[in-house]
Amino acid sequence: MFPGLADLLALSATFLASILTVTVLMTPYIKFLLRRNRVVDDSHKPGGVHVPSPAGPLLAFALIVGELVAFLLYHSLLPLVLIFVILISSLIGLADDVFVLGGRLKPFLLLLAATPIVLGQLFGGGIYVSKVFFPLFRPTSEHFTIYTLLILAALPIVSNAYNMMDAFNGEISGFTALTSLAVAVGIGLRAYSQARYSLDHLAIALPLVAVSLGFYVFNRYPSRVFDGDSGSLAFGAMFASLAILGGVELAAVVAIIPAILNSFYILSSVGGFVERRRMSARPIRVGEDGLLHPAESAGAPTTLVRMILLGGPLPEKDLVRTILVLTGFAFFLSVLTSVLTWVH
Amino acid sequence: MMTVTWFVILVLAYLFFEVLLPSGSPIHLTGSFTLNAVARVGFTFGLGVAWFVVMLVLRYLYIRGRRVD
Repeated sequence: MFPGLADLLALSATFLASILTVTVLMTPYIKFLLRRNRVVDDSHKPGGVHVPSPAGPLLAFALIVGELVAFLLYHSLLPLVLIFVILISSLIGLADDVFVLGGRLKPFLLLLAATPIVLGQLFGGGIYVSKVFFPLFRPTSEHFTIYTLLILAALPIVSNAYNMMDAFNGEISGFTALTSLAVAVGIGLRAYSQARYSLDHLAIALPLVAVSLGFYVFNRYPSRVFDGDSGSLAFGAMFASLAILGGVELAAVVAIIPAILNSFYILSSVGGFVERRRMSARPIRVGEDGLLHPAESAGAPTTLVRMILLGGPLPEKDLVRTILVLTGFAFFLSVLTSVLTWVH
Repeated sequence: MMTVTWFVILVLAYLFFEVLLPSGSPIHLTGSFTLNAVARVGFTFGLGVAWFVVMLVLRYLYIRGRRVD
């Protein structure tokens, strides 16, 4: 169905509520962090630059504001489920920002973030459909048990993949903006073509697009604020939840291919979940020329960034641009996947 | 690299959901040690190994292509 004027207004309200919350409140929030001396080193700049962190609590608040608007406008259970997912993942991230959780404890705790989705389906119903929609082919039959187990695994995996993409100025905000937009396009096409997926599915996806876009203004090079794990884990958990709730799992996986490659190469090179602050060697180094160089140490983890820098050292701004160009290509492949699924 | 990964994700996911899962009753109903259950778990493991191999080959080819020396 095409959205009517009322639907367009409702979707705009959801988007605007989130983006305004971020853009209006971020500057006072940065001042608040500075007053409390909540700053961290920007390790990729010479000369010890300090940046306020974490902005995650404000980002989570803005996401929740958007979901509340969606709930008030559509009276659906979906935004409430997402609010719990955001709260749980953001609190785990905040605990990691303050206490530094272990590399194995964090994914384990993030299993909790998936429980609102599963409990919502078991006790409320209508939260997700346990079938997968493939491009060109018909959707699979229902596989409730396997699908539910995959949901429990997906949230920790995707949240951690987002967390690993949070290393450079503007990387996580730009990455989240592009990937969430890809998912919103997929959900929009699904809402247009299938009665089960209505515009409330699209409405719940818009706050993530809005918040990441608004945050990009403050997070791009040179960053005025970092999100911290409380931001990146909330972004990742919400992205995974949207893929499940919107029935666009494959398009979502395709959209985050750069993060999948990054996580896979890190985990395979360090041999499992290791907290990044406890890795023995860093994947890159800042040269005396101020450029980022790949680490020569054999024990350094193979990250996507280290692989990109094999082509030659880059300034941080150009490196992030390269990562976002890769994500832009993944966005194109994701939209192609959604369109090929939709035409069927 | 991205396009190959895209293709591999679609093919492996399709094989898992459309070939492996429907090829017998759910394992939690039939029991874990039937021939069908063991074969399906084995093939699922095989898909995982295939993913690993493709990703490692891609990294090898990428790094070899970028090496200056």
